[in-house]
Amino acid sequence: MKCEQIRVLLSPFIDGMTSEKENIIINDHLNCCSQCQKELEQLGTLCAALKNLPTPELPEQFTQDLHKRLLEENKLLFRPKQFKIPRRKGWVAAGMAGLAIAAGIFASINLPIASMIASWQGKNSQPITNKPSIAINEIIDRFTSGNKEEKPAVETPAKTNQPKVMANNINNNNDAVFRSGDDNKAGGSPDAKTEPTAVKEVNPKIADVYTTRLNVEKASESLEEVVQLAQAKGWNYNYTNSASKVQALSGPNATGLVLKVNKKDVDDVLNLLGAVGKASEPIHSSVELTKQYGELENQIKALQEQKESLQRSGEGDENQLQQIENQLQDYLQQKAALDKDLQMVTLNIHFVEEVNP
Amino acid sequence: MRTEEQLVKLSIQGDTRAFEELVAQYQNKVYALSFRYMGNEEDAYDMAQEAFIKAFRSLRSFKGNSSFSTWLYRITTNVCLDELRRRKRKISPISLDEPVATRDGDEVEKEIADTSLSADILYEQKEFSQYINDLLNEMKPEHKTAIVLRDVMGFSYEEIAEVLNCSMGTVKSRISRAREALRKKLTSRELLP
Repeated sequence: MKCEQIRVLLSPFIDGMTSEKENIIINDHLNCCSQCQKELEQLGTLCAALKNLPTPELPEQFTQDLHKRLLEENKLLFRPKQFKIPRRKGWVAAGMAGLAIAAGIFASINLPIASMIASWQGKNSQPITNKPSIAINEIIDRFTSGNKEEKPAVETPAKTNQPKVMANNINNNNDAVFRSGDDNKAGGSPDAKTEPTAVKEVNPKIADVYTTRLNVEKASESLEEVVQLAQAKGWNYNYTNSASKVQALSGPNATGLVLKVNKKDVDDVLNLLGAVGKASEPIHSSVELTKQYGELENQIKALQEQKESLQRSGEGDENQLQQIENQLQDYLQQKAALDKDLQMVTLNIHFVEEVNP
Repeated sequence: MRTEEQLVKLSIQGDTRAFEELVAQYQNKVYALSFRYMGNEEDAYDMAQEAFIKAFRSLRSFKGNSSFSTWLYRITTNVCLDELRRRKRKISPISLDEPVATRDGDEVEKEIADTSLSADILYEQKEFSQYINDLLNEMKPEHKTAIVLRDVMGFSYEEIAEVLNCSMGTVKSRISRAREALRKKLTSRELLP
């Protein structure tokens, strides 16, 4: 072997990091090459000198100084809830209350008593009618259509006819109360069956979304951290795919994550995120799902009716029935997913790397 | 006596006392390491503090794949190298031959200290270490870290590979090149036999 090749090996040779085979070759070469031998000795002296370089003692105040800094750091890392959403909600609630009072004062000054009574009665029926979901309405429908000959129930007609009452309220019609009374007669009629769809539109389906920016040192590491947190806490998470959108919002070194958490957990989640990086005040927005929800319900209903009529008439082959059943299950799953979405809060997190000047 | 793992877990939850127990175990080595990187006590002190604070901040990202000490030394290395890089960008070149104005308004020629001392004087004045220190500070960061971790701190090749997050082959060649560069400089000044 040439000297050059041997010299490259001398450094790992000193550290015992060469193979046995290499050791034999090196030793053989050293026995007959004084120059390489000299280099080995020099390297040995150098390593010894480096090893014995004096290091100053650690100053005594090091521990105390660090103790102070750690306490300060701890306050920042584990600070009491920095951005409590309830506080924001508090402002919203206060605003709403103010508006309600203003509306009340306006109404008491400007509206005649008869219309006040009308609107009150309309409102009174609203919470009852808004509550029942389709399932209950269907039961009520069946109940009323089954018993219509015997005794039309006192409460049920008012419930099923609620949308008409609402319409009257909107028109600010003074004799709304009497109209609703008229409608009672028709209340037991079979066409009440079509009404649940109308009720659904009144019930808004809105999903809450919060968007926040997390200023961190390494976006990828922090992303991993949050993912681990999510796994540990059992939150639903998803990587943001629309990278271009996130980049446009927050610079080149950004990644995103979407968390889905229970409404009651939002505070905890935001606090934990605060420990990962500096979080911006979350921006609240909501997604209107009413239309989507209503359409889904209509489709499910239509399919159910189609299925029932097929079964009743005995027409249609097995395949067709199976197809309808499959489609129905698909829609039901979609609806269940939407229901779940409505229970959850979506958190969009954009990780933004802090750029050193 | 709590184990290192328990101390790390408690520290993650914000227990500063647990973290200070960890600090007590490693502060001397962390300080020595940052002294070697920075070349003076003042900077070493600041960087060692910075390294521990940074470690406390990012404990959550410590996954336990490597030992806590290796992770801590990696943070120390990164903190010091970042600072050195930052400074390098800031330093503007100084002119060696431009006259300097004195308080009286006179101008005097700059006197530049001659570092080319002969071997025996260096040994006598115990400046040999300082000279090696200076040579270390002039080295490329990757060579400097390799040689500091291996020869000054006495870490194994495996540990160095973990600290620097690179392969064993890379570690081997960096150490080899760094030693060779130092050896050449010292022999050119006849500081090695």
